Amino acid sequence: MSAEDDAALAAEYVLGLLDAPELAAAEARLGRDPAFRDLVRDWSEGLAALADEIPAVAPPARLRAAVERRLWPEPARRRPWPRSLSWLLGGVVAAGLAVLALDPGLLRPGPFDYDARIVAQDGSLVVEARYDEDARRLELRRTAGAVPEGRDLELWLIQGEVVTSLGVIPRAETGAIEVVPALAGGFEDSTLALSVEPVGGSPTGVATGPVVAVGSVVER
Amino acid sequence: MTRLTDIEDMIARMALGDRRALSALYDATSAKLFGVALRVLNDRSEAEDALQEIYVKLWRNADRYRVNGLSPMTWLITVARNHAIDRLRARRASRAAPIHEAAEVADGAPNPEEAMLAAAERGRIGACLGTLPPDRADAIRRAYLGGEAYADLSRRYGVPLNTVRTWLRRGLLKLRECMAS
Repeated sequence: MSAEDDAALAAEYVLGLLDAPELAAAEARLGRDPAFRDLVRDWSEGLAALADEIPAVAPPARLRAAVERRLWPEPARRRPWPRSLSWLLGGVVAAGLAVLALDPGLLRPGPFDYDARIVAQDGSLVVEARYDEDARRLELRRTAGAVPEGRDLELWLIQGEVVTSLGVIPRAETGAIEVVPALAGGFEDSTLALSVEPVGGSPTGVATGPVVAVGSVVER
Repeated sequence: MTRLTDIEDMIARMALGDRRALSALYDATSAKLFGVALRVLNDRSEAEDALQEIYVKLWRNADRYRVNGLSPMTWLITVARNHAIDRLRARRASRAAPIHEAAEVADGAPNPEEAMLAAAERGRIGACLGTLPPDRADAIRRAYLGGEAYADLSRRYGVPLNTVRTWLRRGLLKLRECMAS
C-alpha cells in the first residue's frame, strides 16, 4: 500500500466508513504498526476540531446525578425504598386533611426543627421540605420534576404504620403547608411520601395513585 | 476557566478512581459533549441518554487515555462522537423506512471557554475544508457528524458506490495536504 492509501485508510477508520472485514484489518494493524497509529491519531485530532463549530448546550441538571447513580448505585447506608409503602398508604385510613397555605414569598430563614428530601427513585422528582414545629408550618421547595398535568401530588406523613395526609402540595416550585394540630408533634422519625392523585387530592383519604417519591425526616 | 492541563489532570485522577475528578470533568465538559450528542442524534431525549453513557464510558476507560496519544479534548470528543454515531446507526438499522432526513441543528460560535478548550494545534480543519469542492467538504462533515456511510453518501450525491469512495478519499487526501502545510 502506498503512503497515500494508508493516510486515506486511517481517515476512513476514524470516520467509521470501513466495512466489517476492513475494520478488523485496520484494528489489527493499529496493534502492530506505529506509523498507522500516528496517522489515526492525526486524523482523530484534525477531525475532532469539527466539533469546535458545535455550540455547547448545558444538559439538564438531573443528568449529573443520573451518571453518578449509574456508576455507583445508592450505598447501603441510605434507607432503602420502602417496598411496603404502597401497602401502607393503601391500608391505613388517613385523618385530618391539612389546610393548604400558598405563600410565594417564603422559604425565609426561620426556626426549623426538621428537614426532609423527598426524592423519586430515579431522581426525576425532588421536593425539599423543612418543618417549623411551633408554627406548624411545612415549607416545600421543588428542585426537580413537576406536578403532572391534570393531577395533583399529595403529601403523606408516615409514622411507623400510620399514614396521614398532609394535603396536596402547591403546583408552584415553592409553597407551604399548614399542619393540623393533631399531627404537629409527629414528625420525629417519620417519613414523607408523595403520591399522584386526582386534582384536589385523594377522594378517599388514602393514596389512590402511585407513590412517586419518598424521604426520611431528619432532625436538625 | 478550565485549561487543557486541568482536563488531563482530571482524567488521570479518574483513572485512579477519584470520583470528584469525574464531577469536575463533568462540570467542565458536559455542555460541549451534550452539544456534540445533540448535533449527531438531533433528539434531545436520546442525547440525554447518550450523555450519561458517554460519562460512564469516560470513567471506565480513563486508564486507557494515556496510551492513545490524543489530546484530552480530542479524546472526550471522539468518545462522545463515536458513541452518538453508534446509537444513531442502531436507530437507523431498526427502522424499515429510509433514513429520516434530520433537520440541521444551528451552528454557533463557541464561547471563549470552549474556544480555549479546543486545542489550538488541532485547528485549521475549517479553513482547509473550505479549499475542497463544497460537496466533498459537506460529505466529510456528514460522515463525521452525521455518521453517514458510503452507501448514504452514494445516494445523497447520486454517485455510484464504488465511485463515491474514490471521490471521498481524494477529498480526504487533499484535506490532509492542506492541514499539514
